[in-house]
Amino acid sequence: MGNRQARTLPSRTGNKVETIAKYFLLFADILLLVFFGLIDPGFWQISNLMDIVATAALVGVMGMGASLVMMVGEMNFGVGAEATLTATLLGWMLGHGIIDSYALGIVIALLLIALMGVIDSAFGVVLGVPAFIATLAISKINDGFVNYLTEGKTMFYSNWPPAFKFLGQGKIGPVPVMALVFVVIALILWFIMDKTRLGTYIQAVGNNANCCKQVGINVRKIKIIAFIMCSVICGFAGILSASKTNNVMSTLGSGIMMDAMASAMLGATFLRPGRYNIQGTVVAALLTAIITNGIIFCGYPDYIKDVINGVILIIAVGYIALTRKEGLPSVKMG
Amino acid sequence: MTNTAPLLSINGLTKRFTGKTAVDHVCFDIGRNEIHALIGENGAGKSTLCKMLTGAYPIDEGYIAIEGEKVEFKGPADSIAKGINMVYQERNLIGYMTAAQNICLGSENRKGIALDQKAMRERAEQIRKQLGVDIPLDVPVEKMGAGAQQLVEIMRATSIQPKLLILDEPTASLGEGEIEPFLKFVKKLTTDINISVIYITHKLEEIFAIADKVTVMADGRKTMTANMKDITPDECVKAMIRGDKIKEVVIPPMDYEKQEQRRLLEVQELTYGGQTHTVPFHVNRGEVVGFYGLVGSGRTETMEVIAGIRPSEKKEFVLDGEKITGGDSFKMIQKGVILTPELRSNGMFPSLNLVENVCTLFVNKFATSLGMIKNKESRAFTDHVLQKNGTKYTSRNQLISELSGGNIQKIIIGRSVEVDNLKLLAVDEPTAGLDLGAKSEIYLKIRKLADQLDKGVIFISSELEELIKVCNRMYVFYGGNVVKELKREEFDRTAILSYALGGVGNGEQTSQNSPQPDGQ
Repeated sequence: MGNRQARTLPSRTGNKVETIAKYFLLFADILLLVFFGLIDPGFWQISNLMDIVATAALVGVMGMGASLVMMVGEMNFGVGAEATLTATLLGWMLGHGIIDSYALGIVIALLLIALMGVIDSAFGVVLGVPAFIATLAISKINDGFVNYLTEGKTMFYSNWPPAFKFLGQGKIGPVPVMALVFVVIALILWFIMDKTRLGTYIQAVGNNANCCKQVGINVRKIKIIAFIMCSVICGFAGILSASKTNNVMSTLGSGIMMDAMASAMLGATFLRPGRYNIQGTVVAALLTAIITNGIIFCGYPDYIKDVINGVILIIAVGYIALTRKEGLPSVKMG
Repeated sequence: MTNTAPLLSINGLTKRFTGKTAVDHVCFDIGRNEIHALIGENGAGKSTLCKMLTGAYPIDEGYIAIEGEKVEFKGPADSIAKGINMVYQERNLIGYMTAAQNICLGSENRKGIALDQKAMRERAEQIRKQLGVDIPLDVPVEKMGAGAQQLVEIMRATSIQPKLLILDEPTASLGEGEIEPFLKFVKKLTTDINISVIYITHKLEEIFAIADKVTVMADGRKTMTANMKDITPDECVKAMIRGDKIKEVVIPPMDYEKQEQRRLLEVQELTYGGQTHTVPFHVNRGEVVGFYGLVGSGRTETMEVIAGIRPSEKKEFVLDGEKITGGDSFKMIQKGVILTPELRSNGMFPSLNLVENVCTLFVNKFATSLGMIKNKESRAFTDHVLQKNGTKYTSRNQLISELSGGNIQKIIIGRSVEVDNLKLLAVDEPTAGLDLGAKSEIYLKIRKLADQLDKGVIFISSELEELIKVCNRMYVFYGGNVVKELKREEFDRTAILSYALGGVGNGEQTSQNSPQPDGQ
């Protein structure tokens, strides 16, 4: 009981520190933009800045998807495999001429991956297997299925429609389609999470499931919805990635999964410390993209970006651990 | 003219769990605008009964009638729709949401698909006016004190215009000074918004302050329903405990002057959390010393620093003639000082069995030089501790979390007492959530340590009554400091409470101005 007072009292004096910490990620974004621009003014070209947003899109979209499940207090370790599977299904259906329309293909692939969200939640929510273990196991099955469809090779079919490349490589004026898609998805998810009942419930369930039960919120249903939304969004990230490279590699999803998870966690230090949020995930994904792009653009060796990304993540999450007793939902232990 | 049937009528409600009848043919009525207290020991069936009323448990036998009309609940939603709502003992709020958002949780106003924050704010404001409470609506509830949080939950419960509100031990999380205003609030509630209240509690003085009627339960059966006017506290207690489970605590007279020669612990000042606290207190052998104070007064923090659990900037005290300036809890236990934690959950490993829970305190004793655990010895030792303390259990291999709170507490205290070279045992809120029978057993255990084994005991509690009952001397804490030392002969409820609220102990003054703790 004594802790309650001890925790709330110092916050009055620490207001300024708190504000700085709250917007630390955004400051870091701006600082790095200025830094790389001073080293090489070419960095500030509109086309390069657009590239950065497009680069951030893959990690950002998957990160937002993953953060939905984290918000309800669970973990989905299968997001990478689900992205790969979605891209593989789409490529396979188009390549084998089962479907001609690219748009229809996307819809069907996303519906199938939504089913994967149902399966995830069937184990993780309904049966009560710890979700991160259940999703890890299911992701292995997915990996196997992907290798079966791709026959273990990088998938490419010459009869893929030209539209296949549009999402990842197309441009509308100077703006890459990928960047546009990123912004649109972020806006939609921000609206759902911060302005609608569903979003309120998703965040409330992760904070105190008992309280939700008491006021008549169906906790199970909300968690299942979060898993399905997560799978669909991450599946879409897979489609974006395949479109960008115009092929499907079996490492497509696993390559971005860790960065995506990291940006969701990093994002939880932004704006509302201790709580996952869409805005934070976007800013964090941009940070990763700025670092990656800047390091390459200014000619530094590649490994530096991993080191910088890792250092920022551990500092930011360490800050949360120090300031918030309850830690982050879904990564706290015990 | 109007419906004369009672608001709620409980007719022969029965609930059976495998092998046990938790609620056995209970019948009573609740009238309109009535505060109906429901009391009984832990496990008497109060919660089970209420869970049937809220639709959380299906009813095995009997029925509920609301205003003369028989009702059936398939789930909590049905019960809420019929006007029954419950506020549980533990807080059920979303910490980062404001009071207004918490009040509207589950029944949000919407404009199209978006939430209508303005309308929700207005609705909360209306409820606030209606109940006449003064709490901020736009502050995240995690920044509020326990009392304000409780009010937010009651506001939420009343937001759906219930006919019957069930309050489960509502004062358990409140400090001493917060209880009295809260009781007045509940009393006013019944007439202000025209509801009846079922008030579950352990504290008899509360029900005599506000209740109209009382129903007493024991072992799943109703033992008494009576008007408060017609009964005495003693009769209530007798109805609660069948047989004579409560044992009297006897305190031998004490020769203080002689006592002072047998000094065990002497403390003057402690610096922790960036502040120096003046805590002049001492403990002698063979006496029980009480630490009393409101929530956050430093009663727990002080002992945690002494026991080496809470980090401190500077500490210096004398233990049994030896000057001590540092040391973590491991070192302090070796020196014979041990503290049992305020939260029972911090004193046990819920998913380990009894042997593991008892013996982890004695890793060195029950391990070979290679670190292998001596199973036979540790089992025998566990049996010894369990039997000595009269613990009720089915097997020493069962999980500790399967036991009742009282039995867990017996194990925690029982194993602490077995520490080699024990000099000073500090117990922090050892009776929290226990029923009267279990409480009295803990009191006897504490007294026995001092009287028969000649140890020093520090008894930290927020329940003044139990400290008055058990302690030889008492220290009152306020704002992190010791503000008063009292001998048993000087114990006076009003004065002690006044010191705890930061006053000067003038009992008459404070009894006129009803005590209000600042801040929390």
